[in-house]
Amino acid sequence: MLGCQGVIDDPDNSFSNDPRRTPYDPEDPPPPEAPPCLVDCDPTEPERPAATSEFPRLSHRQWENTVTDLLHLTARPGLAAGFQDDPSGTTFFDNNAVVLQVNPNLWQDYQNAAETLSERVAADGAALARIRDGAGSEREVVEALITRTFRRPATDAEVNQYMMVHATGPEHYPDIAPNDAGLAMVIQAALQSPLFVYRVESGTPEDGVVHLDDYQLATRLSYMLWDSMPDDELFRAAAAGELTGDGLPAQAARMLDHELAREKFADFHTQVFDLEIFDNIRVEGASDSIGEMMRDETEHFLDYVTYEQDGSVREMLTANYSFINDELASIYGLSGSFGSDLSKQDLDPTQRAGLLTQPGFLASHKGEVAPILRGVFVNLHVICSALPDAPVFETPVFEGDTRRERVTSATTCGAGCHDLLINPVGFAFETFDDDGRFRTDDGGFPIDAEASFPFDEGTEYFDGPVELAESIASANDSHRCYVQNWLEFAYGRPIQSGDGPLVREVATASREEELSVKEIVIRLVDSEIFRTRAVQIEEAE
Amino acid sequence: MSTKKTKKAFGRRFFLGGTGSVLLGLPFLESLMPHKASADVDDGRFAIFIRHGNGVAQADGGRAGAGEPERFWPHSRGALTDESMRGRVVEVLGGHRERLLMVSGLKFGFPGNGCGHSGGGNQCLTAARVSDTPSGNESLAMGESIDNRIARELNPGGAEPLTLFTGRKGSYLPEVMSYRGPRDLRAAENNPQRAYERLVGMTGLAEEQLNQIRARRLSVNDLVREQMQSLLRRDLSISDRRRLDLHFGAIRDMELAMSCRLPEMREMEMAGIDPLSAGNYQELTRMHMDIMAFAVACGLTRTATLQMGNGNDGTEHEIAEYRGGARLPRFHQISHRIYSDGSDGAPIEGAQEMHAEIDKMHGRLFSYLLDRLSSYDTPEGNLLDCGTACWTNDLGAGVSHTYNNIPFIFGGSLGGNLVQGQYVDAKRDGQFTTHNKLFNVILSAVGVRKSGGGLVDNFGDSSLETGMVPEMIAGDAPDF
Repeated sequence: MLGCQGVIDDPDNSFSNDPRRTPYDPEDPPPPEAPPCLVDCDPTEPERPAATSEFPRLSHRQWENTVTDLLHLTARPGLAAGFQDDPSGTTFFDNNAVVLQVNPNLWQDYQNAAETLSERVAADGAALARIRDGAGSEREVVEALITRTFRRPATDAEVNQYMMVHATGPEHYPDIAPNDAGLAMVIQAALQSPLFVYRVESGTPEDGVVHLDDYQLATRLSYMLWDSMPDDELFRAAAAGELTGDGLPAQAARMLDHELAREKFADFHTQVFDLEIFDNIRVEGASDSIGEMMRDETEHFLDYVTYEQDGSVREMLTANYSFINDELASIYGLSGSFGSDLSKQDLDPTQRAGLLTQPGFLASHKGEVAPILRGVFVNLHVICSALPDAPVFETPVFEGDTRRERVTSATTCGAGCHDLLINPVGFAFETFDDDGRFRTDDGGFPIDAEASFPFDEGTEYFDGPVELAESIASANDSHRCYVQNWLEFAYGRPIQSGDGPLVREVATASREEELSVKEIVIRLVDSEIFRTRAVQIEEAE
Repeated sequence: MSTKKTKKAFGRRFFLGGTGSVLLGLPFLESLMPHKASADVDDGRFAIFIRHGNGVAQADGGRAGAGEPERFWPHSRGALTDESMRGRVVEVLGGHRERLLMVSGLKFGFPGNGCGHSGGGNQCLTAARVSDTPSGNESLAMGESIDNRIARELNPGGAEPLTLFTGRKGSYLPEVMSYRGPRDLRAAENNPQRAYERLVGMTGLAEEQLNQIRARRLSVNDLVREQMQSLLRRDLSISDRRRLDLHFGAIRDMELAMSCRLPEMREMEMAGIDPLSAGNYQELTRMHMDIMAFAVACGLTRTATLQMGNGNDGTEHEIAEYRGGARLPRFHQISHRIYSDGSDGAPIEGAQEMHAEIDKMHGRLFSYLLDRLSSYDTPEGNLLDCGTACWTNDLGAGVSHTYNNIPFIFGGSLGGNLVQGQYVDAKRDGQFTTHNKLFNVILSAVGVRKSGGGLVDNFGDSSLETGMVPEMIAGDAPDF
């Protein structure tokens, strides 16, 4: 089957499963001249709080980080790796609260993990000492633990309940000290509590809007930036009422310096740019780990731009440097000795510009239909175009001397799919072969990498990947797309129409002021949408 | 016809007892929130389906089977008696005679697409069309099966139906019964131990260890349940309520799973049996039946299917009650009456009788299932009265591969909703009735409702005539 939107020879069907695509039927009316609008389509639409669940569940990563911090573990326990996988729903990310639920399988996983972890802690005197550190009586220990578990002060009644569980400890674990046995039972119960598993955002709505309290804001913030529970300083700020005031962005700036925030940035880029597929790249004559090296390169590059350089989206898309070792250097066509570790190297600015000209992206979208695969990826992940579904051609015809000619002959569906959006972007990368090496001819025939793309503010013409990167970095589309993706990842939910003005405002600043990526994230925190939750109004069943 | 209606009002959860050999449910279960059900009833009604292949040894008027005498059905319709069942395959079910409902006169609604067995399997529990592509032995159903419908509407959290299989799955035509939707065939589990482990979560633990874990979880769950209840306010959004309901149901299900066990000896037997050996066919089937009865008794599912043998089962059966347990020719070849899986081959001497004996063997296994279900006591009666088990086939008869007169034999009244002790004819004006109408009765009686709230009358392909088989329904009108 030939799919007109990039599913030709798409072995894992990754594109045909993309949830963002809209249905396309060849019998439909003629396609639009420009990509359909997804978000912020009506500039007059006001910003509105998002209607979200008041019980967003912890993602598996969040569960793992949280138990580590909650129990003062010296290393992550690694238990969440065995949890049942979650779906991603309509975002690129694994933290979409819309689809995170506790089904019987996951509940079983939670139970087993809570029991395993509590028994490990109870058998480790140092671990118990860390939990008891600073508290006097056993009740104070339990109160502190439950407060941190619930991410807000525990009530007396709640502490009483857990003390009753504590009292059952010797019965269940007669072979260990009574208080240690009691604490083991409290930990088991705490980790299975819905008040731990869910980040509860209940509150009294005013005109359908719940304004989160300080502890709820602290929790939102810590999971947004760290994928974990608040630290002592954030708890202190919440207790002092600083977060419902103007202390929120200051806390965000502080927290961005933490290693967990850096990991969160890396996780975002891994998921949004699908870096895991780089691991499977194989290059003839190269070592088996070449794919992992390419992933390391891109991860290192993104970390450098966003963290070490405090860089911008433009930098990410146009930088003419990367991180290279001996084996990668051969793909870049660089001579000299670079060693086995990655080091920063300047690249030929006429050949390379930013993330999309790195071998990882290019070699993970290879083959006779590489222009289609590369074009689809950029449309979906970098520009956020809404591509139509793939029409089906019974007998694709691949004719021509160059790959561009053959792809053109095989994709005859017209402006509605390939000609307008996909092929032009993909053809710009024809100066690269399947492995990401720069090339000047295609099987002895001249490369044609000229094309154009209908960006938001008009059609841009480009010749080759460097000009394409410049066009994308200069266009509103890529900044809006990047901010939109960050919003979905940071807030852990799909974008909603009321998010439009915030996305527009931050994206505009990203493009016009070269806002740093860190600043983009801080602006997403310092917004009314972050501080509120609209009540979900749904049709009755 | 005797159609006295004796509906039973079962409690949501059974206090299990009797000889069911399940470690009993615990009183705390009663404090758990009930699941949402599609109907107002939420009394644990269930429907189980078992199937063997290659048709049955009934009078075969079709082209190649012309002249074969009736060996399967009772001699006469109406009340089932020892006399009416004597000498026929169904005689082996005599011990459950008063709880049986046999329905003839039903047919599949659509032709197959190049393979009679596959097309029959596709339609058997779906009443859906057979796919244009793929075709032949790879054809698929174009709609969901009845077990899927029951599970997605009544099972805790929409949990998957229990889908089991006896024997070795060949590559030609393995499982055929359970469909999530068009062309979406559900894999069946042919290893009883694995099926059991998936239900109960943990096996291989000594009883003492299990009791310790159980006790700890009870201590924790009491508190967790209280916290869940505190979150379940009246004014929650629909999606948040669903989210918490699923979570709450998950807690309950694990408690049920922890509190329900088969006897340790049976667990060990399951661990020790070779699930692929043809010589274990009957014992494997009985193990699967133990699991099915156990699962509905413990409230872990409201429906289950068991496919006995491949789509065109070629098992070489050994039946202790027949010819001293000598190994018979391949069942599929017996059903063709020749030593061939096609149309040309040497005749198998006594093939019609062998086919009837294989039917009887499956009848005895069905009887075992009814025994297992009957062995669980509830306050209102035994478990079999709360649900029904159905024994069917995906062909009418072997030689002709006909889709007419598909056998449907039920044990259990489904909460007093099915007539009992009767052999009824579903034909209308001498014409076979499509079997979707039989499924409409079962779905409605088990508690499934249409999206608008009415009784189900439109299961299966939309082109099929709607309605029910009134002869199956106890009482004057279907109000279930």
